Amino acid sequence: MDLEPDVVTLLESDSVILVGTVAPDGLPEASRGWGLTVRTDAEPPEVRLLMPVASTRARENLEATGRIAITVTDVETLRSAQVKGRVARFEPATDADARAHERSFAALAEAIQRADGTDPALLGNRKPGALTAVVATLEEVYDQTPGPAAGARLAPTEESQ
Amino acid sequence: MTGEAVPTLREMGPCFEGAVPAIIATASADGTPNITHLSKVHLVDDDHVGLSDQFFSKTNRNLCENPYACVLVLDPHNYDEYRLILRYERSERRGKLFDRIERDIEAIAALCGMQGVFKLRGVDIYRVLEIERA
Repeated sequence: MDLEPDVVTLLESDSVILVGTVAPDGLPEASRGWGLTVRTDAEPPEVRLLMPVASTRARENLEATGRIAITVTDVETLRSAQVKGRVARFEPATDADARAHERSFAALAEAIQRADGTDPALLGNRKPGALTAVVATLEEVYDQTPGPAAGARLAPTEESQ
Repeated sequence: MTGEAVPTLREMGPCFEGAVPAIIATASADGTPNITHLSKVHLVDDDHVGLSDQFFSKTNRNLCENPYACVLVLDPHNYDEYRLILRYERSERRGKLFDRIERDIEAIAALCGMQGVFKLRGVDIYRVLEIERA
């Protein structure tokens, strides 16, 4: 599966990341994620996402059903993409993850301040505690930018199938 | 669950002002989750919220197959976040609630320079089954 470079750039940007999971009984769960990276050298491509250790229900859902949806939104342009995939493995977060997350969180807070004037100090309330990592194989990517075009598939394209 | 007291829907008023977009997760019948932003969650009464049906079509298709949704709302004053577990009950395509939400949507769209883009088709009413701090 080919991913357009601008889609990879969006997915890996300092953006708001939403995580959707589902329990075995069908109950969906919304939570937040951080620090998404894309491994385009894998086939199919993989995404690696940091999640709060405290997101226990999301983790339980991922372990039980393996299904994950991740939406990434640039808070200044509202450009968004949604990834659908299946969990490949869990990994401990590393010291490098923690450092990257500190930088990314600060960059996101600044972007939100530019977008709507929110004091970055207020966003400190949303800073997650300990993190863990989940790696998922990527199955589909959709345009999720608000508007009538939301839901258009970005990958795999018809040409690539 | 943290054990902290959670507010009632009425006490969560600022979360329903639309200052910060909410988040909705749904799942299809085959267990595929979907997650997206929505501009606003509308407080209906002590036990119900309304979501505007515009064009988040995958969300709507999922809810036809599986009536449960999970919504995150954020208090813009302190950034406390709450998770609501919802079950779809009915849709309204006219009436006072519909008119109020239609005005809200146009106001939000105007702020984004998207007037006329977000055509309200209906208001979906959900029972709130559970509230927890996120």
